[in-house]
Amino acid sequence: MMSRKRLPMMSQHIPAGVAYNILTQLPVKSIIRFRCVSKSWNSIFTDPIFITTNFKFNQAKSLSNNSRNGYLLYKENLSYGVKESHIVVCNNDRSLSRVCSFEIPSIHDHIVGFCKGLFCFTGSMDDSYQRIYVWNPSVRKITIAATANNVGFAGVTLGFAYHLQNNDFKILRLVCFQRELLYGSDGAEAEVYTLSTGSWRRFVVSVDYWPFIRDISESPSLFFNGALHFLAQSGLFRFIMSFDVDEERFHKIMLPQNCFEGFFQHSKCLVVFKGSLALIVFDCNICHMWVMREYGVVESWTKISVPIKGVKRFYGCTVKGELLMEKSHSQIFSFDLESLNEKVLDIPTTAKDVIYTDNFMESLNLFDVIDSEDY
Amino acid sequence: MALELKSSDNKIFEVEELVAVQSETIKSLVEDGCADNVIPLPNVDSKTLELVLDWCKNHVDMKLDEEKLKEYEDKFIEVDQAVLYDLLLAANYLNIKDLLNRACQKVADMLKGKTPEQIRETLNIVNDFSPEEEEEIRKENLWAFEE
Repeated sequence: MMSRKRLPMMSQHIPAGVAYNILTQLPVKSIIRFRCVSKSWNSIFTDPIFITTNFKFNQAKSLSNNSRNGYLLYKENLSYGVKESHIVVCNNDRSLSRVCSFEIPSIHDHIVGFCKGLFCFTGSMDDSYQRIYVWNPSVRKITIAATANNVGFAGVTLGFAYHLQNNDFKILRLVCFQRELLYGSDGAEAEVYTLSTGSWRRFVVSVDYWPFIRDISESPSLFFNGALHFLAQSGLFRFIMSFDVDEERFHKIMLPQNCFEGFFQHSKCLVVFKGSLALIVFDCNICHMWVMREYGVVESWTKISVPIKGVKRFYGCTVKGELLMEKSHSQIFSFDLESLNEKVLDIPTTAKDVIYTDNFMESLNLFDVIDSEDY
Repeated sequence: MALELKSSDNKIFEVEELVAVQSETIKSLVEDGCADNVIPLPNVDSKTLELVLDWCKNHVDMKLDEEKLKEYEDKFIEVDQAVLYDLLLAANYLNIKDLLNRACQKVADMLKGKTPEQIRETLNIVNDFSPEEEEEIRKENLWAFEE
């Protein structure tokens, strides 16, 4: 498969297996650049097995690397009227390292999710999230992954997941119809798009005794433990709806009692807090977090309440369990729940459309997409 | 229990079994009951074997102290190219996974910043692309060639 390489001052050749090991440990940018070294190198780097091996190497690296946390993306309007996007990585010590800055078409109006090195976005809400993009920032490729059907007046929720068993990616599209006028009942339909096959599969949603989902929250879905999680509501009953990506089945997870009682609640969402599923609710000047210490076990919901003043927006929870938020004066800061310590992050106050995702990781996925927009 | 290893230049090293079996190759010999006499290692010279055994010993001693081990590994791998490649080949021959991975990572680090031309020169590879074919790959991925 590959030519033996001779290294300086050495009379022996490096065995092919060892050379392959070296190549899989190169950073993605170098791999892309070295494609033009020779034809055999190019064919190694574009081989699906190499891409998978490199992916696994990067995955192991991202899970073991304790100094990094996640990506922060934000846009800035530059003085000459151009929009620039920046990606920075949050380090454990709350410092930021710049990954890249670039001009990109404003497609990230609505982020669906981030898994294993790939971002998933849709365009505007106007077209019912029909166009779905998948983007790999480490190879600088964006592709239109899927185009869904127009569903007219309906609530649409999307989720982006990594399918471990097939080393593949899936996009879930949930549509909630309000057919009261016509049929006297509501309904929900689900479609799953598989990245490798490029096809949609449709099925009806039924969750235990609650066959109809009236309202699926538009806060982003959470991919955790091999399933997508959404805050859902059927009538007055609120719960977490989970979609197992491998079995392609829905399950219901009960929420803690009285978690949505409070007059001034805003920003309710699901996060991963130190390896557990958690619900965060901001109520006036208090942040409530319920952590499901044992996944799926309702009795294991444990509440933490912490006073935090002036929170305007909540962005996410880091691997170390710090909350990333924006205060009224547009400064983004990280808040440690245990020490109650705050630190302002070095992001300009003019930053817009801030997105936080965790598990920074490089990969070669999508490097060969032709029908994409490069930048 | 102690084992005896003989390098290619006929130097004998006495090593504790616990240290030596970090090498999967030696471990198999022990398990097959072939390690009673001196074990010849014709592919590894004494200089390299001494380094390898130091790695193995420290991995036994510092097993529980992740930070200290990482510090040791970082310092250990700071060797010149010739020694690095000897370590690479020895780790492969002796099948010592963590040493092999670390050495490969070091080589990858040395290669990563180079241009394709420098890679070809260092590794003595012939460019079999036509100028047009090479240009097409470059054009597609301009950003990878910038700093």
